[in-house]
Amino acid sequence: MLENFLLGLNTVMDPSVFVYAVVGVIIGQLIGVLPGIGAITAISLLLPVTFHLDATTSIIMLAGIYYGSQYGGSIASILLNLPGTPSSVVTCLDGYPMAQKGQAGKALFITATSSFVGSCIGVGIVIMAAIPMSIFALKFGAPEYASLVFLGLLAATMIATGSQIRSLAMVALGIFFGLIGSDISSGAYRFVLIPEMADGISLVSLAMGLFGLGEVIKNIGQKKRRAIDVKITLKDILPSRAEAKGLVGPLLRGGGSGSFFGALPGTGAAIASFMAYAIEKRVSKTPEKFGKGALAGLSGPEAANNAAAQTSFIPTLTLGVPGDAVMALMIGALILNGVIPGPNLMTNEPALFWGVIASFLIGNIILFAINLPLIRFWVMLIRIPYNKLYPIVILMISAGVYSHRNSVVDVIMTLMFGVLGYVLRRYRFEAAPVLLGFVLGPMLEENFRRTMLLYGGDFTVFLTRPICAVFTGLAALIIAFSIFSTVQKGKANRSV
Amino acid sequence: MKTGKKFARLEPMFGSLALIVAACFVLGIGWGYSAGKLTQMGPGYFPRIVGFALLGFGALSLYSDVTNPTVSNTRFEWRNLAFVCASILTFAALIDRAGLVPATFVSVALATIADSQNSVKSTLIYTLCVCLFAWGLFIHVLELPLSAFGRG
Amino acid sequence: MSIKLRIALPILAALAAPVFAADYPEKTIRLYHGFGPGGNADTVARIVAEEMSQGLGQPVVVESKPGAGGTVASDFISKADPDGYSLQLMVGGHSVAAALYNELPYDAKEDFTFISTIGKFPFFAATQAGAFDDMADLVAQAKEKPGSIKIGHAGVGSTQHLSGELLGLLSGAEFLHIPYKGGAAASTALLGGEVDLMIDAGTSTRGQAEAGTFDILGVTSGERWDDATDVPTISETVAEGYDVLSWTGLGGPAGLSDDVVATLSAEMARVMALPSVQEKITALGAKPSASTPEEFRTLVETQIGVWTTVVKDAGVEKR
Repeated sequence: MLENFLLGLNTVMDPSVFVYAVVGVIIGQLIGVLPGIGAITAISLLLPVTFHLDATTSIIMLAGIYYGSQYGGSIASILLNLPGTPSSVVTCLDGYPMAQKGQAGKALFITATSSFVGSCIGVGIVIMAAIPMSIFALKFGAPEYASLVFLGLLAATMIATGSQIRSLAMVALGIFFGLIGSDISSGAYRFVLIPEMADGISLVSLAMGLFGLGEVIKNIGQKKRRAIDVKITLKDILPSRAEAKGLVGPLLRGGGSGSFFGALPGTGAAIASFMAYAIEKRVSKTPEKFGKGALAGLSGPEAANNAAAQTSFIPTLTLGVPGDAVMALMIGALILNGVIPGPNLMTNEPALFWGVIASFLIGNIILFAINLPLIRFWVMLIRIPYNKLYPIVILMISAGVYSHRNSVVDVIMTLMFGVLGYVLRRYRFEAAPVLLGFVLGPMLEENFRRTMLLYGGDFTVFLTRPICAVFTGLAALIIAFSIFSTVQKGKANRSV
Repeated sequence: MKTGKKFARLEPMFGSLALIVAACFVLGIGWGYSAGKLTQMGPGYFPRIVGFALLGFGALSLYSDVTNPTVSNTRFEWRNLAFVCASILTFAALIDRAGLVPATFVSVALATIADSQNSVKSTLIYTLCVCLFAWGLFIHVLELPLSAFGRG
Repeated sequence: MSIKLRIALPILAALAAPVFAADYPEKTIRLYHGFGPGGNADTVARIVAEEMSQGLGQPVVVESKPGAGGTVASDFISKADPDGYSLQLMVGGHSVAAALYNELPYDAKEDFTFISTIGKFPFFAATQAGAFDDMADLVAQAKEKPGSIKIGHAGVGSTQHLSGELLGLLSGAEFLHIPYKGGAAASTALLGGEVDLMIDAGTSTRGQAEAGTFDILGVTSGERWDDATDVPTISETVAEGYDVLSWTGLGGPAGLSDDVVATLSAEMARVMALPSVQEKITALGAKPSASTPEEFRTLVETQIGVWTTVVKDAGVEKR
């Protein structure tokens, strides 16, 4: 294994390949910082470039863009509450409150470190356990996904800080948004009021509207100056020794759970970070701090989504089946270069396989190295008075959403979600569960319907299949626990 | 006066009421899709479940609004809302027809006016700067498939 | 008419002609397709767009408008200005959709200009390695226990789906058809053993077969495929008359001017003759094949006929 890895390192260290690895991660980082212009847009734009490169170099560059954008995605979330991807929605939850308290520098430092550690855990798992992980991932059929996604939806209620009823209502609203468009299992159009909605609602529109735009509407013209980091010394940025100690657990848990979710085709970074957040909140001794700037709530999910970004290459590279649209683009680039992806990739093209994996490590080191000094720069950005900053934010939202799929309707939808986000907050409804419902709802529907079709409507599959049984059991525990705590609360209220 | 008072009393419930309206919308339209049967679910199966869930949770949160009314202490930012809407809608209207730079100009100018602290002169200079920045970033650095002026 | 003018006119005309031709294209051409980025349609679109940009001297930008088996993009194109700046990378699904939908917002024949085919390719019937001896064995098992053999396909109303229905129809066996979100998800399901059979393009089946994870039992084309001559056709084994070929091609909205069609048609002929393009199209499992607009139209019309029969006879629910 070490020998193979060295072969990979050798491939990456070839200057003509190395340059593209660096270019990839830097473009990814830049694209990630600009919310709305996601990795897919960037990769599609650069795909023609890969026509002129060999397969290994192409994939190394495209992969760099992908995981580089995961790094960059957190920055706008922390500074402006502006998430461009569903996983950076989770970063908003505790990152933005930290920035408002004047701890933007520290939040960015923790994010960069967590991303790096998470990525390293992910890379480590890819190196050591790519094959076993892919075999395990194949055990996931429709019933497994259905029960896992159901568990994820329950976890959504843990993410919210307020009442569970209200967050469940928001999950349902999110699922409804997810149903809009054409139905996967029958092809029928649902809730398509205008033809442009046939593709469904764009995730970018929903995330940027509910979070970013809602925040802008609230903040314009506020006389109160935003808290800013007066000095940016190393001491203000670095977490204290006690804080650092407290981050070890979240990092390991986040990296581990993220690696798991990433390796399942079709789940990916978003679910990884939502789940990591729920886990951290569950194990925390101070869950009430979550949503108000808890370090663990920032660090765990951040480690998770970066670990997932690395392990999501496992099904693509070892099985030849892409887990999501970004991976499909990579496969496309491979095919164009005459490499047919499949289980033979590792033996037929060892230099490519291990080169890509080694490039992950190199790429992450580069990303970490360029991110640390940049913290100073980002924190300075917050010093721009808000009345000079928000019009640019609005422009970035409009232009970013538009460029996502060249759709004016998406821009208008974003505005509607912005207004909705503003109004929801006013009535103590939170936006994060909407996002989770939106991402998970359609997955639940698809897999549940397929389960029923495959097993002839037999519900016992959720108990008889071992992996399903684990998820079903966990879901039952969560439900039992929340009923129990509601009852307890009710008793306490009555006695008062 | 009386209507104002009534409004103030009903205001905390608007959020939950809106959810119930949304639930009725989901059920109303979703009922038109065939539900199928358990082994062969139609496109209407899940919308029904979601519609009822939304109705149920909306009703429960309405109950908590009634028993425990909480009014947001911040005022409703009509001015911000109006100008942000105007800004984004003009961007949407102009981006396809007039190109990125004109769309940016009008949109940023409208957004800037939302904050009454901004003077006319500073708004103008600022807007021009942002246009230049947008043109450089989107057209030249990122090379997005947008046209700077005119139809793409 | 003065002599000067008599001389000047042909010169003017000669000058004017290239000016006319050079008029188009004078700005970015958008090449739409109805599938996600990275899919077959997207990749083919990018290969062609890259070369066309150079040949036409204007950028040809690929844009994905996914949704409902590509009909979202087709609808968009059918209503686009016929100025030659909105084109569509069409796929075999275009004819399938025409057969499948009760009410399409467009007419699949009359609302389009067909310019040239790009590639033609068959599908391959793949199973888990060692699961069945051959096509005959699979069909025999399906006949023994109707509905026990599950076919995973890339989505309801996809060509892959209807190919499976056609297999049931012509072989007389009853299959359970399971929809997935795209061919990759169906491949994963076959790898994991959730379904027994998938009928999909060579790019997703043959790589697996080379690695020994899949067995390829048959090819959907009426005759054996050039670069896979050892694979028997489905027609010669279990379903006589089975002949499914999918294709990619370049089209646009109806009413494109003859000049534009001529320019694009000539450009396609040039692009398709390039060895680098042929190589890439072949890598995607297709036979590079340019055609005249008339040949392309005939192909589409014939296939609409075939699929209409399949949808009717197999009792696939129309939408």
